[in-house]
Amino acid sequence: MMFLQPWVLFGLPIVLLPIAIHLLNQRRHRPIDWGAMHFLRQASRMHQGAARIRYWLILLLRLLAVACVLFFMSRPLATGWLSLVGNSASRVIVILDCSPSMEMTDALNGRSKRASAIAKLDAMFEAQGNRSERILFVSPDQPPVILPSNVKLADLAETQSTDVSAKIPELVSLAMRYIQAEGLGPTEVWCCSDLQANDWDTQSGLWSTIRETLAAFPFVRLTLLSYAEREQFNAAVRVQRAVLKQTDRSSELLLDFSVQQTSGNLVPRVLPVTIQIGESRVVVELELSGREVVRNGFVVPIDSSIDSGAGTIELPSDANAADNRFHFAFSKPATMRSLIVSDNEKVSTVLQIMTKTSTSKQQPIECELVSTQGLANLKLDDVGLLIWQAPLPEGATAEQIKQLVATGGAVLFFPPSPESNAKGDAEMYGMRWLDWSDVDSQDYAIQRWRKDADLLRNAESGEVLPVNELLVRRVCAIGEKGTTTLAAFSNGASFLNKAAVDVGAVYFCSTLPTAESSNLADNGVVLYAMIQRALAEGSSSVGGVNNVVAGGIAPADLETWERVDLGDKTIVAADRPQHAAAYRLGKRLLAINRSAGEDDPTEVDKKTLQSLVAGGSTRVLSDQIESDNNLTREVWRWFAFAAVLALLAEAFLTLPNKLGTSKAFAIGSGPR
Amino acid sequence: MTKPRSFLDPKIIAKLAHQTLESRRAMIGSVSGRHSSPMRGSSLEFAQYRKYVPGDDTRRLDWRVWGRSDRSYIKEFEADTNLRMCFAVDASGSMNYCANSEVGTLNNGNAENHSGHSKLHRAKTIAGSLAWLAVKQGDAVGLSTSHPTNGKDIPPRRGARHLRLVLDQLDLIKGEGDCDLPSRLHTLAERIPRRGLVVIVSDLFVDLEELSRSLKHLRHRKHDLVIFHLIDAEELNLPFGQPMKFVDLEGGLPLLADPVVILNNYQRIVGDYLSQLKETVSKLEIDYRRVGSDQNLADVLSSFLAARAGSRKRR
Repeated sequence: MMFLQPWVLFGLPIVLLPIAIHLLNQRRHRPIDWGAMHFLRQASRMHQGAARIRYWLILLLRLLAVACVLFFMSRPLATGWLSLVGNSASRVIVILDCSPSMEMTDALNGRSKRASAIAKLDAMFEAQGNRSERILFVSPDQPPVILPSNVKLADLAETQSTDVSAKIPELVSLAMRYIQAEGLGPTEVWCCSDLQANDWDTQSGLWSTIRETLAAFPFVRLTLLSYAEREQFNAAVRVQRAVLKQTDRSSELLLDFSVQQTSGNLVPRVLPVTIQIGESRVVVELELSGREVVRNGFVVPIDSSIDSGAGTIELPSDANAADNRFHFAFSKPATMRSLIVSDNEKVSTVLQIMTKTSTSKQQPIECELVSTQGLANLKLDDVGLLIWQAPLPEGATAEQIKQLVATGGAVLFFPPSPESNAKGDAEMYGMRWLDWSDVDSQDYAIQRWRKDADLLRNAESGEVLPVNELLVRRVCAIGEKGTTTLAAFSNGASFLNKAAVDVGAVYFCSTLPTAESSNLADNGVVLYAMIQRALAEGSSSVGGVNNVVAGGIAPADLETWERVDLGDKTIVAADRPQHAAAYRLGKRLLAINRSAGEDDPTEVDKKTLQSLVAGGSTRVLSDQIESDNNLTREVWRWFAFAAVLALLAEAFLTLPNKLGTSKAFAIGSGPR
Repeated sequence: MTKPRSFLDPKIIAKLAHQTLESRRAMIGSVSGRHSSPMRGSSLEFAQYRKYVPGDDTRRLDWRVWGRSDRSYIKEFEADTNLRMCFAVDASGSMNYCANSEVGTLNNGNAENHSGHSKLHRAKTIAGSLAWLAVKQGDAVGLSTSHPTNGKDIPPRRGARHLRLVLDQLDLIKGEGDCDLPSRLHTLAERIPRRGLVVIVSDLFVDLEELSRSLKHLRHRKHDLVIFHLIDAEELNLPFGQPMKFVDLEGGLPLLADPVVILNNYQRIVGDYLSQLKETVSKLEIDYRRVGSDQNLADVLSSFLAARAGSRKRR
């Protein structure tokens, strides 16, 4: 508890004064010789239970009254609503959710959840005289900001709205690590968020660590300042696909977009959706009759001379302006380039066939074969997929490959041929090749693989790839650390692994498409799907258009890009990846938008929330944007009121027991 | 030389000197006196005629009746006898209670009448004054003190010497210990051979059931009973406004209590006690006098004697 005049609390021993007086009074009872003890004992016995309770109650009320007077003189500050537990920590860590969902705004006061939280925290710090050291965490990618005592949160650029999803577990975990590293004493951690499930990632493994840390640091108190979903109408717009379709005479843009109502009553309404490309603008009346409306293949005619560009799709103003706009970019389909590195003719032939056979007429495919001798001149520019069937690279070649992956390219590693006896000791992405072994196809049947995503996922029609029909005769074991197994043999050995990378994709297949090793080539379907999907994935970033989630790109990577949308261009370079926008670099286009999870209004329920941060000193304060209650306020009035109540109750209990009204016995009233 | 008795007040004696102590019931005394007797005797008051039977004293034959009717009748007169009066004085510790004159004013503002004496002293005054009056009119006086270890019994006798003995014994009484009045009354009922007047002077802080049984015993022996109930207004009303330490005069443990808090219960208990006592004395036709510390004893005794003088005697 925090007090503005804490020195008054040195007088707390005065609370014991009523007890001392009580004890003194016990000794100061006036003695009197008494004859009618018989009556007295009986009366005293009849009254003993109630009298004892009454005496203790009176004593308790006196203690309470004195304590309340002392507390009210010390001018206590209370945090929260009716919570008298205040902030006594010398350091306060603020974790602020700056995600788009926090921009939900109250129609009356025009204040967003984020702004409300900041205003209340600022008011709280001001009420406390800005005595605590304040540390701000807003993003796991940014170092904590230590606030000078005279700076308000509202004045900081770090507390402004972004389009990045808040990674609450990472932020809380960072705060805990900070406390651990700095060896802080009593620390108050304020986490301000709207409890959106997307930001809280309840499945994150970090929560268990957070719980352990909270339990280990009893001096740390975590306060969750939550802002629940509101009943105001809000809708979010999102573009799933923007494809440029050009003919000899005209060009048109095919847009797949959706409008989702995230809050408010489900009342059918018509929304004017504005699509703007350059200077031209198209307004579409969209009838929103349910939770979500999806419009696929919406045609926007554009100038035939335009072969690439960027635009926005926008909804009219509602409760949250941050999800009303979505940027998209479009260009002519880029050539899907792949590069095969192999010295094995059989393997390279099969891989070339699989790679060059495209299903898309609009997207041309190029495939180049390079032997290990030609690696010195290896050029990976514009390569979408690199298929590597050779000993794992080292040195400059390895760095080139990592660069390819970092820019979104895909790499599919096959083991070096057993005949070459040159598997090498190199390691890439935590994986390396071990020894070849001949295996029995029956023992090495593939029974489980990931069907919902990645290379072996089911077809769009829902049909399952015949992965279980693969027959493997030779396997090169994969030595792996921290990779994901996409398909495994019945004995647990890996068939296809994926490395853990943030951008791009790296796959390791443990056998070769040769008759000696497997029937991958004969089966065809599985290998073809694998290669085409890897190629499509890798080419999507190498091609003309790249869609990135806000915060998913480093500021340095955006330095040379030029902003092409019509939005706010005053954002500093370091903050550009955090804000939705469209950029151009040469022929390449980049659209940055909020993540799809931000449009999901699902919230973490209180029970789950409690379980996430159980074990430590934690409390949840539910705030409303329209509420003007301060987080901290002086509560001496409550103590004064309590003291008066205690004194009144004490006075009532010590009232004479109807002394004046009791009937006195007269001596002369005896019977005659 | 006669010792001065502190408990005998000349003013009281002077006031009682002109009054007589009457019995409400027929007494059986040893000598002729001023009290009615169930026996036939030689007083001037005609009682009845009855047939002569051989052996009767011929001097008591009514010759006039014999002359007129030729029948022999004996003429009988009422007998007057003296009174055997026995005092039962409570000598328990509680009789040492002396009313607080300060709080005494709370009840009736009658502080000027406050004697400042203990209940025991007042009991001695009552017993001594009445004993003096009884001996003066030729009645026998006895004394029984109820004391758990040092109880004394002096059988009723007449004469100034015996009165001195009774007064000496009264003078020696000291209040201490519990009250064993009921058992003392039982003993008294057995020891007084004939009808007499038993005067109980006590605060009656005893079990009323036991007291009732002992009083019934006395009434069964046809004794006339008088109770002087010495109780103070403070003891009835507990008029204290602050917590106090009540020291038991009968030797029990002291008790810390807040009279304000327990007053209601206290008065309820006292009320029950008084109503139960009233029922007992009414049922047994006992002459009950409640005497407070603020009452003038001369007035109390005078009105007591006057009331008895006016009541009808039963034979």
